[in-house]
Amino acid sequence: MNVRRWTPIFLSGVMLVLTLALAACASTPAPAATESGSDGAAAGEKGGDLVIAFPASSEPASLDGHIDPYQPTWLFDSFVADPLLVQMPDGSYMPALAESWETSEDGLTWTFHLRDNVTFQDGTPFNAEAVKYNIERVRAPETQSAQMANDLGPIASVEVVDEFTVQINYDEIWVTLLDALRRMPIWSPAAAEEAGLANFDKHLVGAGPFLMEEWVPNDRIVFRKWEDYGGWNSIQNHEGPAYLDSVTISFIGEDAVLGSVVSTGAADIARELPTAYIEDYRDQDGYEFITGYQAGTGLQMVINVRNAPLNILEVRQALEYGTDQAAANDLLYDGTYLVSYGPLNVVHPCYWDGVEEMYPYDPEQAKQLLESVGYRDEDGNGIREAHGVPGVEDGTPLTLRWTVLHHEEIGEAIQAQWREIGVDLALELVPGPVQLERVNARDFDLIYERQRSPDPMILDMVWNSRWDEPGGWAWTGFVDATLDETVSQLRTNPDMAARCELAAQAQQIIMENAAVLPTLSQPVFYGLNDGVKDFQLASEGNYFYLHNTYIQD
Amino acid sequence: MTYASSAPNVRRADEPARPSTSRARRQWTLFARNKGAVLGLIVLTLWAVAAVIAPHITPYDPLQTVDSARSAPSAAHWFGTDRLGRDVLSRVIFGARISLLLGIISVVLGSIVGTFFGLVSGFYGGLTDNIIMRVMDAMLAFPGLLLALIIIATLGPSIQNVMIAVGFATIPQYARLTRGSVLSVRESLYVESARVIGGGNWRIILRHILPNVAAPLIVLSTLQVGNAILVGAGLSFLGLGAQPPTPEWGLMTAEGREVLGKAWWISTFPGLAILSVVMALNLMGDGLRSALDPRLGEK
Repeated sequence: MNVRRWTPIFLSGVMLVLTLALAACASTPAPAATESGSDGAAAGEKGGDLVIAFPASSEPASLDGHIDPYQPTWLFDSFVADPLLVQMPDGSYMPALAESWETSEDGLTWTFHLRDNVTFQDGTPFNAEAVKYNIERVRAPETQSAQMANDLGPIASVEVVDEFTVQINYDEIWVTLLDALRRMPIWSPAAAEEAGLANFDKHLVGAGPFLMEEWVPNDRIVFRKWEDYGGWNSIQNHEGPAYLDSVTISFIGEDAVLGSVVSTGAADIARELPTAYIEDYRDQDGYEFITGYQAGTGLQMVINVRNAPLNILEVRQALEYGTDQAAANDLLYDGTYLVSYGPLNVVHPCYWDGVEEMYPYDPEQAKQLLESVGYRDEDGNGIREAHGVPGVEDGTPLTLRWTVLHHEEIGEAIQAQWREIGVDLALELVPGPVQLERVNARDFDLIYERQRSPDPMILDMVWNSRWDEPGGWAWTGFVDATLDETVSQLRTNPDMAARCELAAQAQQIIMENAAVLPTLSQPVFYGLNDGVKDFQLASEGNYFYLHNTYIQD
Repeated sequence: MTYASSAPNVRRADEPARPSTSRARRQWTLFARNKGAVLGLIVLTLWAVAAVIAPHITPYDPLQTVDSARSAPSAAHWFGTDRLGRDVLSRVIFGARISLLLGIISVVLGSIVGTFFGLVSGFYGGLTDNIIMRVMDAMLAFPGLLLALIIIATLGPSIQNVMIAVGFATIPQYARLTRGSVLSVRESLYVESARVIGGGNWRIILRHILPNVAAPLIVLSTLQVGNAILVGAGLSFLGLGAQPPTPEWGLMTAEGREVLGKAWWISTFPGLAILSVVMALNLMGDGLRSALDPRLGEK
């Protein structure tokens, strides 16, 4: 026997056993933290160095929210730069850097009255010119803003009325400006100019509670308390700076590690806790478990209706009848996710519950629909082939592609369900750039598209055929004049009740045409060391505030 | 004087010969004396039989949800269930089909192409040898896994492309080994004799040289099957090989990775399956090398 050949194999086996043992140990909950002190400790005693673990997939490409289109970017920006206004946990808008605001009677002009006692972290003054600079920076073509420019809408002009008053003018009503401004960081113009577009995200300077200390890509972002912070954000319940001495965002690549990172003491908070680890924190001494929900589309799969066979309504409806989202939720996530039935998820303020009755799980109905258009399994392999299906060559098996960025396990569960009705589903897990390639080439069958906002305007983004253009979010190719007209009004009608009524009509049209396959909505699970106090979740589950947070020893 | 039609018939006693029945028997005896090799052969045979009769011995359909997700090993599910409630034992047994097929096909691909280039390079020598060997050197400059990754990135992720990629990555090893062996036998008297009696180059290569350089290639192939299974599983682990719901060991190991601390059985059993097959192949390779190499065998 060759010992040298044997040794690495033997060692590999030993390593495997050790790895398993370590992983098992890592999941064991740590001893409960000692309950001591009270929540009402004096302000001067509050502080701490907070470590928050995020999944590595949350790390942005750029930390400049004027450029990057992802929510984690805006969240991290909010530590450094207060926006003009803040959305409170109850969903209302309250002052931050702007003291008050109003719209003109025709709804075309927004006027913001700014605080007159604010300086940026670099000592330069905050004023109307700074606001104008920031809005124009977002809208400048060279900024290549991937989302924020769209969110600000078709601004006609920004006027400085006086040092602390600024006006934003539109040619058409833009009702979602506040939703955009509560996310838009206000940067120090001097610092932004000095660093330049390419480098500013490594040297963020705003007027928020924390200074950006360092960003080590693929590892961490560190923020330190700004001692001169004036507490001008309505979310803050005390004067002066925030309590925490520092905040470290730690990016974790493995779910198994993310699930154990708080119980091992390596972090104080784990965001997006994997479902398998929930029980380690829920109702456990020493820990707190929080579930955050977020209004939006959920993890929906939009359907490319341009090509056969998905241009056939009966085929799309068969897919709806053949999908049991609740079973997938129970199987994969122990029922902790939210089941989606339509293009808005169940926690959206404008969710229309009529969608719940439209496509109950009915595999027999699905089979009948497929057979009615000519899909039969004549070769007996369990997958249907086309026999006279319009636009499909006879004998072609009914195979569809499922293209996702993550949560591929949902596709696997539905893959098994669709096999029962004779549909073969090929899963395709791709990175973001490949997803956009597929979208730009319109080369997909069902593709993941999630929009997150409590505003129903996301229906206009995804379903108005006007946005079926490069860079637009209307990917499906579905065109319906009534739907276009309905969702267009969401951009201009300021009355929330009327907007929800419009959204309900839109949801009905979309589901009648089965242009989307709703799946599940992902809650955001937080596991906390119970020494973390006053951690404030925003109205959206993946957003939070640290202005009042501290760590109790 | 009568000329024989095949070179070994005119060989002298001290020249290398093609394997005879008695020699094969001696090699088998040597192999059988190696306990590790026999154990490897038994393990491999068991896996091969399991792969062939998988539909008849698996308790459940490997693609169907049969119980709640992440159920621990029990009487109903000896290896537990995975994140979709599928029986892990059934998937591991079906996975043997894919892994063994992947190992064999990729090695067959790599060995045919690599041996061809090695034979040509060693036999013709000169510029041909130089060109082929420099290309092989260039390929050897890339680690096998990296080369396979590049090919998968070009062809797209699928189990078929993994076979091609892994096979391609093994070509230079076969080419170099074959070339070295050819150089050691091409000046042999039986080759000269075959040339003298008018044998064409390809006849000499295929009938006289190839059989005499086959032994190290067989050993290499045995070891390479294990390596190919390991690389294939690695690529599937990275999401570049088999795609869900295929019961492939590397993919199954990856699927359980996220819940390793909670449901260790999802990754562990496919991992142990990989370990057992690769170990069995390595043990067999060691035994074969001892049996086929006279110098080692006589020790």
